[in-house]
Formats: sequence, C-alpha cells, structure tokens
Amino acid sequence: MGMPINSALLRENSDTLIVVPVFAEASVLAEVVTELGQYFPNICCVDDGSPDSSGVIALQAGAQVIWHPMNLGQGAALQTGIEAGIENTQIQYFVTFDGDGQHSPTDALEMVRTLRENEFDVVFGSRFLDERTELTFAKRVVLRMAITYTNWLTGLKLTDAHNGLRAFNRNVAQAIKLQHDGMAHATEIVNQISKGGFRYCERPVHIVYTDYSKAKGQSLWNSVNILFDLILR
Amino acid sequence: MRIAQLFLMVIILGLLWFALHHRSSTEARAFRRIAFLGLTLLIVLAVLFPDVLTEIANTFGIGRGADLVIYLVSIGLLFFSVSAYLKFGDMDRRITLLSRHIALLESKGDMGQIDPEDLPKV
Repeated sequence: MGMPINSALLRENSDTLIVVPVFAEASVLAEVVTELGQYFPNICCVDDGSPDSSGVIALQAGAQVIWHPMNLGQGAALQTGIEAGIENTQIQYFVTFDGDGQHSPTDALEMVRTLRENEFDVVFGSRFLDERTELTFAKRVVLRMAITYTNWLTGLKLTDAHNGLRAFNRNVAQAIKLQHDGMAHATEIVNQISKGGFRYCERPVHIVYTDYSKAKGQSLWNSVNILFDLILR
Repeated sequence: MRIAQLFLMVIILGLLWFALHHRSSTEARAFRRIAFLGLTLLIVLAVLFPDVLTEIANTFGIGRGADLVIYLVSIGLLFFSVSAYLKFGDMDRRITLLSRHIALLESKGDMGQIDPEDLPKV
C-alpha cells in the first residue's frame, strides 16, 4: 500500500494465478489482496461460504472472487481456484496463498521465479529451512509428526507438511484433484505430486504468526481429525 | 483366549473390513438387510425364549444370554457407526462437487466484473 506499482513486474506475472482460499477473513483480507496486488495481477479469492463480507472486500481490493454456495472447506476452495485457473489458458503458474496474512507475497514471488527457471514443477514453502519463523513447542512437535507421516506416506523428502504457500506449474495444477475438503488436503497435494513424479523443491518462507492468524489458525487438536480423515475413508 | 472372545474379535474385524471395502456394493446392501433381519429375529427369540439364548451363549463360553445380546448389539452399533461415517463422507464429496461446479459456472466469463447488485447482502 502506498508503494508505486511496478508494472513490469505485474506484466511478467500476468501468467500467474494466486489462489487464496478465504473463509471469514474480512478484517485482514483487504491488506492481503492489496499487498499481493503489488506483485501479481491475477488474484483469485475463493470465498468458501464466509458468513462475513470477505468476498466483497476481496473484490473491492482488486481480486477476482469465486463464491462457494456454502462452506465446503479449504481443500475444496483450493480445488475450485485451481480449476478456474486451468480454464484460463494464459495461466502457466499457480500459487496457493493463505488469506489470513501469515504468508509473504515476496516469498511467493521468489517461488514463481524458481518455477520460471524450469528446473522444478513444484516449489513448496517451508518454515523449517531457516530460523525466521517462530513456533511454539507444541506446534513444532505436531508439525514434525505431520511431516514424518506425510513423507512416509508419499516417499517425498519435505521439511514442512502443512504450509499453505506453494507454487506449481500448469502440469501439476492439472494433476491435482483434491478430494479431502478439509485440512487433510495438504497431505493429499503432496501425495498427488509424488504420484505424478513431478520435480519438486522447497524454499524457505517466513510465516508471520499474528494474534489474528493464531486465533484463526487450526487448533492442534485438528491434527487428530486430519489423521482420521486420511486413514478412514 | 476363550472361543467366544476369538469368535467376536473375528466378527468385529471382519465387519470393519467389510464396511471399509464394500461399502456401496450390492453385497453390502444385501448384507446390511440380512444383518437387520437377523438382529430383529434374535431380539424376538430372546424375548420369547430367554433360556434358549442362555444355552447358545453357554456354547460360546459366555455366561448369560443377555451378555450375548449385548455383544451382538455392540457389533451392530460399531458397524452402523462406521458405515454411517463413510456414507456421510461420500455425501459430503458429492455436495462438494456440485457446489464447486455451481461456483465455477457462476463465475465464468465475468471474473472480476461482478455486478455489485449481485453480491450477497451482508
């Protein structure tokens, strides 16, 4: 905000779609979309049946908005956004980005730049590759367990499992078919990327845990639900 | 381990496996109906001939007929819970597909140019 718009950068990124799953983020969403808009012209917010005015706010802040007729879960919102991007043939790169302000647009920019070098099909964001992200002990333990399980299940070697910041190219987007509506989709994405044999890497990203994102974020108890969803279906 | 315990364990695990792998098949539907009829019949018999039930229980090494009924009801409940859980999951997935389809249809062509009049009232 207040920054000069870098039109060369925006033009360069016109082949990139930022998919932001949104559920009741009215208080922070305008800022998130505006900041993203400094770097990326195509921002697709999928309003997942928010009870507040999130979708309208995203629209006013310059995002494109798809409205789910009811709340379906973050996995479903991501899938909707990705499919909308696939329909637009100019979109070559996709970024999934949380709507609560915990991700940094410059991290997303770096990840898309990595994709442009065409060495990798997928770039996962990881908060464990450097020391920037501060985590509570309990959260660290649960995330470690989650990544151990995900790596065991998928055969990939990742350091962060449930990070909403990822970037991938069109081929990967077409291979992603999320069936888990809820939060188990994070493991599901990794699994489908593993099955597709895509080239992947991780980039360090900075997660900012504001009071808002902490209050909004998942309770650690939800890891029990995620595990249950993944096993019993 | 007594034969009754072994028997019940096999039934419970078998039902779980069955519920997980054949949940929407014809066999599963037929099986559910047979189980339903069987349980109904058993309850009627249990009311009419309490002694017979106790005899059956004894052959399995279970003390009372009532205990046998409790075990069977437990199995039935577990089976019902699992199949209901899975069925709701299937339904959720269908609702998701339908809703997402509607969302994409509605957004098609006018992405970013939605008429403010069409926005949900907040």
